[in-house]
Amino acid sequence: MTVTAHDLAEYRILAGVSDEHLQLIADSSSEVRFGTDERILSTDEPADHFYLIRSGRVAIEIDAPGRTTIVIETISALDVVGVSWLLPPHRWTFDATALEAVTAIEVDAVALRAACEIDPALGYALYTRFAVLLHERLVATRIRALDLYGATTS
Amino acid sequence: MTGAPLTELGAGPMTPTMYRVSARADESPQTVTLDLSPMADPIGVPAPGQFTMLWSFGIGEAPISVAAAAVDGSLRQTIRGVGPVTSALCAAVAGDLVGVRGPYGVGWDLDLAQGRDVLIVGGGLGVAPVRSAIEHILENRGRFGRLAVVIGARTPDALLYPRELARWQERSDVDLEVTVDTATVGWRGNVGLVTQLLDRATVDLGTAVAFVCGPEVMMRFVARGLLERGAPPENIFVSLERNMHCAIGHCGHCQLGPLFVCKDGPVHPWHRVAPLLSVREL
Repeated sequence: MTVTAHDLAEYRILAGVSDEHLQLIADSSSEVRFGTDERILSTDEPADHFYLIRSGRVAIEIDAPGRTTIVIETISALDVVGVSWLLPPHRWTFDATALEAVTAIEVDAVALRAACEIDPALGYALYTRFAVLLHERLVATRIRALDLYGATTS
Repeated sequence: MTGAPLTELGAGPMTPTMYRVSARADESPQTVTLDLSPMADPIGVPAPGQFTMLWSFGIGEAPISVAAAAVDGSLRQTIRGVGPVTSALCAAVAGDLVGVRGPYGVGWDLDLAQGRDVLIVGGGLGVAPVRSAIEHILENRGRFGRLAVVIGARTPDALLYPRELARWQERSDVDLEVTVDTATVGWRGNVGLVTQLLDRATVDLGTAVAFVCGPEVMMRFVARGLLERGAPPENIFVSLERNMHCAIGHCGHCQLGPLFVCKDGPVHPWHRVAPLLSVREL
């Protein structure tokens, strides 16, 4: 199914991006589907794409020796799966698995990185927006690391 | 011991009323919900968000929020055992006696919420004080707009009130989102902080009333997230926890700047307490 600039404009991560740039991203995108428990990303594999989730829920996971797989975070509709494409060495840091049937827009990160090199305005637009996303996730992770719900107060 | 209220013996406002534990439910290894039945005249019916002082005789008393209250005077209160008093209360079994003072404080502003969308965020043990507000809205559903509930917990096992969560989930007039800090495979729900679910709350944050209860740091970030999404500060309410002893504004242990959390709260509008919460010395 063809992805349009209008489809991309629904996503908060792309709010305010120019129509021209949205169209450029749309030209590098396609719709994909994943079944329940299907692996979407695997640690250390090349981060040559990312996903804008349309429906369903995705678990960001890590395997720990001697322990069962740990779910670090879940990502749902209108959010982003995959940020390692932004930064060298452009390889996934964690695994991602569909917790239920997932429909997503797959964006070609290799093409997008190349386009950013040519068009700094596109690069600035994307990197500033992904910086906000990364900051939000960093803050949430730091708060969770505090173990606030632990038994420290009555 | 008789069931006569001690107030009949000439005692004062610090004297508890006798209740008997009619049932207990273990929510998690350190958290217990007690159902309490009055042995004589009950205390007044607590409004959603109010609290009581629960006595464990011979040990002491502690402020505990009210998860549910019935017109016959029975109470449901959830306690986490973290000190001598709360640990003793958590050890209570059916038939044991406890003392109850209250109800105290200012609860959730359900009058302000009437006719509007309502967002309720509860984290950890903070689900207990919002539970009665959720039930009140569901019992008076036509008086309120859309209802979105976001619940957070440390792990799936630590989620309070699983039966109520299942019941709310089944209703088409409640938008319930549950998230946990950590989970292993097998958990099919959300993993993350409650703030990460605010974008999915199906309420108009520009006019909705938000009731938030949980660890104070969590509430600060929820309030910040709501403000960033256009919620007016006067529509955000948080339930604070401080070192409450007398519960009637006399002892000053729970003082937060000019406020007594026990008497002026525990529920406060965000715009009134936000400047105080950022002062480390308070």
